[in-house]
Amino acid sequence: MNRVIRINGTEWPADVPPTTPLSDFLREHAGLTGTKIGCRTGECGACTVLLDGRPVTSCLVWVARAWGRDVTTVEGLGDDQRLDPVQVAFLELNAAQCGFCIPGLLVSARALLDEAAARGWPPTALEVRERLSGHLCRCTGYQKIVEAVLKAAENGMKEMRLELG
Amino acid sequence: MIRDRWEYVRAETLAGALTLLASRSDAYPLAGGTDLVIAGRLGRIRGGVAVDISAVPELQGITAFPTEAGGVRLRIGAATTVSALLQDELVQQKLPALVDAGRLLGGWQIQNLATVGGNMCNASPSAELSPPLLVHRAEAVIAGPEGSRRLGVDRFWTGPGKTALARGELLVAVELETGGASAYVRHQIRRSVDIALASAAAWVSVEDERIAGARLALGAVAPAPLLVDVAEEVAGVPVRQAPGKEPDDPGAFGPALAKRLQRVERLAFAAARPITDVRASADYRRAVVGVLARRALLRAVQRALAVSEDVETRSG
Repeated sequence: MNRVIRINGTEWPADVPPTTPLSDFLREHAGLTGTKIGCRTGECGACTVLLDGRPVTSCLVWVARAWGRDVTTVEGLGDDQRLDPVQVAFLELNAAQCGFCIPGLLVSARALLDEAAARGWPPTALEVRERLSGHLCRCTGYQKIVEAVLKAAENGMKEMRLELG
Repeated sequence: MIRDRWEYVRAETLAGALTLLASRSDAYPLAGGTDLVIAGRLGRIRGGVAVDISAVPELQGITAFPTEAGGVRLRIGAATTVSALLQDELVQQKLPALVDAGRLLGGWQIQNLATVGGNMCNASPSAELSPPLLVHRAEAVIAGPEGSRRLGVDRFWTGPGKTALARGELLVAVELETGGASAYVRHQIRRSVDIALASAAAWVSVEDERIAGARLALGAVAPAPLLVDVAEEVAGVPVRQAPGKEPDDPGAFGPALAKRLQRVERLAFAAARPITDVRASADYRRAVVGVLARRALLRAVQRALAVSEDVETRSG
């Protein structure tokens, strides 16, 4: 198998020991330190990235399991000119305090909104809480985070309607 | 720092996987990695050779096939992720207890990695999927060096972390009969990324507004998940939605069921052999397991009635 991982759209050679945690590879080899490492046992959600579009705790994913696949980290959201709508909503609603959980939450929220867009209706507050329940925030709690994701969903749906209209 | 030492090998075929697993005594199948990787990291396993079985074709997918009796049987490949299970329309329609349990398993990130076979083979007494599989009378399809065999899941789990799999054997799939309605409930400290203090799954079939058949399984109250025989207690009991009662109310489906549910609770209490651990005391687990059994049965009855209403509406 080709030992390459496509990270945020760019192909990265990943010829490191196959059981290197993806979280370590991202931070130490790819230089993408946006992804944080908390518990290393898949419980805190800080290291969450998207693997083929689905949120996973990257501390539990060995590099070999990502060969040939797509990984999206927080660095892959938006671009140098424009933030992702999820990031904008988190900023507007002050949904981040210390920020450690935020890179993981942002990519999960992105995946949640993509899923909602694919089916055509926005997520409910309960759905957002269930989907994001694998992310621990130890600063402020989850109210503003949930509000921000709902706001981003609302904005996203507005954009969709404008495009359609 | 990580001290476990793993070699990684990827199996492309079932035969290849079986050969690799038989080649060394420290060979472990790797599916989602949510148990094995953690076990290595916490020093519960020193390492060895991790045989990646996630791409083996026989372990993939959810397929339905007709039975001789005119029903539908579902085959769930062992490498099916919990997310794939939750998204499957037939599973949603036919195996609601499994959906209840899958949604409670870990969080979204874990559900995207963890597999049905992994949850079964890790054999935690509190494993989420075990009670639903028990009440749906699932059968494990097992491959080994000597060929393949089938085993009812009521004989699959033999103790904490222990299964009936012999060395070199691999769980390929589970097969379940569909029909009836089911539900799974659990009690825990956190609603997510936590495991059950105690859990219960129930299955019922309702014919002409009477319970025709019922099964109950309990989790986290014994060394392995337990089937409790409740069929006789509730068979023939009339069930009809009582007006103005919440579905969790013991009287929600009439006084006859409410009375029998008290006996079901006592049976669950008597069957439980829980331990005291960091999550809860044995007494506490015994105290809640009957309530869980009652709630699971009520929810299953509610779903069975909703399904038969559906059928009536359609045929009418």
